[in-house]
Amino acid sequence: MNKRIVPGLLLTAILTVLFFSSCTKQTEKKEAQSKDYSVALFIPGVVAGSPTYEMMVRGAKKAISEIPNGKIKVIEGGYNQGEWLEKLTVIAASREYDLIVSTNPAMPAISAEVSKQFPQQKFFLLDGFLEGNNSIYTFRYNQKEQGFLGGYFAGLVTTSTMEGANKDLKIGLIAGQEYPDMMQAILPGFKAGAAAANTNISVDFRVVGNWYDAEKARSLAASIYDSGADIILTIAGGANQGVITAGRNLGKYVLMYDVSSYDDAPGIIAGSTIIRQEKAAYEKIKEAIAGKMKFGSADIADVKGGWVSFDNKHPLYQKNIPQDVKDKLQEMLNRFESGTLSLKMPVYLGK
Amino acid sequence: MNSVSGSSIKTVAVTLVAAVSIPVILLALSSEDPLQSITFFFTGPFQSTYNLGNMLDNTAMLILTGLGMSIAFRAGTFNLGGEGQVYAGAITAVIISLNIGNTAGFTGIVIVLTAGLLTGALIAGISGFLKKQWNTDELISTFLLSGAIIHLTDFLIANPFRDRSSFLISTEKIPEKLFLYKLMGSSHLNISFFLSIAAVFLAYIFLFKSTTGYEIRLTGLNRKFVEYGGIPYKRHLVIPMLISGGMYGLAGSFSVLGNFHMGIKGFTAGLGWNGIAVTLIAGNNPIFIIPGALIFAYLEAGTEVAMIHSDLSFEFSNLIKAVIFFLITAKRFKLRRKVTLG
Repeated sequence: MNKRIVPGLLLTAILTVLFFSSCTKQTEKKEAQSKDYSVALFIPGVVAGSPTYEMMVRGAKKAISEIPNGKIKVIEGGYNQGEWLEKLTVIAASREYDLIVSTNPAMPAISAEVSKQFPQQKFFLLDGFLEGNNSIYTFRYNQKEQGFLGGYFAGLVTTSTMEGANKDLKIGLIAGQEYPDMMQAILPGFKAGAAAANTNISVDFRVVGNWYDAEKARSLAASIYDSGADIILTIAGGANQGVITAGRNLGKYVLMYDVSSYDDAPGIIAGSTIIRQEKAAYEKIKEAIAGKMKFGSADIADVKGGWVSFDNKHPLYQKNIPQDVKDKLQEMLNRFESGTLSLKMPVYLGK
Repeated sequence: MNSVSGSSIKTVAVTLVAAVSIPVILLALSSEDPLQSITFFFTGPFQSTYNLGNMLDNTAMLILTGLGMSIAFRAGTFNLGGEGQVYAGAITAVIISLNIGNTAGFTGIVIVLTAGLLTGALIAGISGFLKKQWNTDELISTFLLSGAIIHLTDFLIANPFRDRSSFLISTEKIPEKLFLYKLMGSSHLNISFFLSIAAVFLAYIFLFKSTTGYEIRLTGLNRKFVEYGGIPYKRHLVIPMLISGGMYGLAGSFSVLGNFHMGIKGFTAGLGWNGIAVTLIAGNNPIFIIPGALIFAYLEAGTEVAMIHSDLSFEFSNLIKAVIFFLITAKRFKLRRKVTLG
């Protein structure tokens, strides 16, 4: 049997290679064209199912499509955090890309490690913070303000007369994991926002322990709702679905983060803070192409600059939320947008 | 002693040709620029010392895990708990390293490696003991125990040993004096490569040149015959499991001291299962574990480089690995069935 299989497989392999080597001329022609700017988009996870990654990819592709001979490659790093450093190093080692773009608070430290070996490689990192490395430019969102807007809205909901709201002054926050941004910016911002609505509101904070376990998130959410909360802010990636399921089962509300997704669960998703990730990727990559990216510096994008906001224009929001809540939230947004109110992002260095 | 027979060479050759052909065909079918993808797949691992070094480091880990599986197979037992044993060996290495204090580098490294090895051995040994005492199916017990151990290790990394200042779900970094000596620039290749190869020869000598090894192999071939011959075969249900688990645990601690230098949630994932694939490529022969591991590491590195340089997606690279794994396993089971029927 082996005698028959070996030549058979060998023949298949050889024929396949021969067949495709006939395409060589075409490929050579392609390579002969010079490439003006090439970008590697490193996704610390996978794109499918993650709206923030999808936004970044869209923005980056748009920026690259506007230049002749621009090249972009989306590289998915997968969920094993232990592999990200090696994969990023391989990308830098290829010396094929003018710019590596990524998004995640963990990426600055990983990129700085790669930068030690490949100092010529430039990085543009969204949603992360690092100052003083001349190869790296970071652009993070003011998550304290974003958390504040979420907390204020949740506070307005729990004190409202909405159908799913009870008398208890309790709201929840479910996170995928504990990380510096969460503990030092989002959670304090969320609490401060809730207190701005009513100082007696208490926040029930729980951690899933990963970004995918929807069943665990569902049971955590159910327990928070059971204890009297009527709205939960969920920042747990794929596990968000579990929180939405719990909200649907118990007739309670869910507050989303980063991406407006009212249509996923009409009537259950009561509100959503948003970040302009697509715009950031597009505009900043255009800057990099033009040679104007400020490598070595770290920008913070806030509500006033239009990078962070609350999606209060969506028809489902307009339909489901009482007018007094809408008015109060708009008033708060106006204060941030005009600059009369701003919150400082804490400066800290995570690893 | 037909340890390196003609038929086993042929089996390995068939498996290798199949393992290389499948990715080529899949890449050809999926990629917009198949020639580029295939070229990167084959030449990528050799394009830089970084890629080459990492591939060889992965080879070293696969040699150990393949060896772990192979020894269990030889004794006629199965150890499907490799994933948990590697992970447990790794977290033990991390915990000991973080608490080792001022112990000098070399002594410290020996302590950490021994602890990792013993952890893996202990976990697999439990399944061996259960088999010996109550004839509990080790196929099930190793697998179930591993499932529990993985969750426990996840918990240890995410809670008591978590570095709260890190954005990753990880422990703190281990002291630098415990890092294994690197052999090829900035790549992960380190002295564990030579130690792994040495382990293969030690395993070979143990299995084919020692009385216990002979008894273990005999137990694997025919348990009833061994019992009839007056050999205490029950002992050989535990010893191979101890060695097998020990190899997995050692691989885990090597990956901590040589590569990751910390515990990251899920960081050794895949090493245990891939060890089975390596053993099957090697036709269950310890000496062939080295080329088997090299081939598997080459295929892994090839898909990774192809993914970075061409339009191959993350899911598709995993699909290629899965197809290779499936093919190798199916082939092996077909042979096994033939042997049984024959």
